[in-house]
Amino acid sequence: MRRDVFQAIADPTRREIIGLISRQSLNVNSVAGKFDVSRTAIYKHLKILTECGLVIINQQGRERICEARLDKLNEVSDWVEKYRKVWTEKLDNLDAYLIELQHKNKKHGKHK
Amino acid sequence: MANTNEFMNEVTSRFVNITHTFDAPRELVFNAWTDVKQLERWYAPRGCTINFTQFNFREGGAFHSCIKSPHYHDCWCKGIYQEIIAPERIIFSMHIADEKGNLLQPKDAGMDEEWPAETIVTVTFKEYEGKTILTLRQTVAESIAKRTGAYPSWINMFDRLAEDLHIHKTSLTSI
Repeated sequence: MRRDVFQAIADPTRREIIGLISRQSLNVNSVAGKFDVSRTAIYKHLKILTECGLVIINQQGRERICEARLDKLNEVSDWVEKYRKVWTEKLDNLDAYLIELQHKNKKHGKHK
Repeated sequence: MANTNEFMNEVTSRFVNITHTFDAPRELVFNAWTDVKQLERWYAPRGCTINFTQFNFREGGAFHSCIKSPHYHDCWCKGIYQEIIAPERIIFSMHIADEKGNLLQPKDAGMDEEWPAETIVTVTFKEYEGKTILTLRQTVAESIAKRTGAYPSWINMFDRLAEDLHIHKTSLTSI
């Protein structure tokens, strides 16, 4: 099954998990301990998060440490930035157009 | 954790949120969105041109446009005017399309397949001391937002940072 960043963040518990471990890497049990839902459910969420590339789990001795990989989220913000840029350019154009229009109206004595 | 979750769940489901102040009366700013001849003058990003093969400015009416760029392939877009309240608000959908007006999925249009095929744009016009404050929001269409859950809330999070900077910038340059 194909996984992507949007699936990862579609679930509120998964967003909490990312929020939690983005501040500090934690072992799997500590992550599970922070939530009221069953450990099995948290393991499943962690599995999806790793499949989506937002979390990596490192074996350190007897512990499995969860670490957040937030680079993927940049993809989302990059798109937003692209769209924002296009709109900003359009509105700048509109600015220029309106100035020209009002200038013309003034000349013809039609200014409201 | 409650705060983080609340914060993330504060879904305003928007991608883009821009405010721009125009030194022009509201009717003039509004009318620039309602007529092909005017739109063709400004409604294309820098260095590009736009033309409309269909333009029906009424609620439920459709438009079909093509943006031509010297560096990129033609971008066809199709949309429906969902709400028009002159001179206060315009809401329309934008869907990636082809030349014939067929709706395309992003990957068929050479875009990233995770990009939503349809977005909704809301433009509002407010009078303020003889000027017009325009706000533009672009969101994921509801069906997509539902399917992907709170993905817009993440976008919102990033957006918020950039937005603060942007508002400062526009208010400085446009007043």
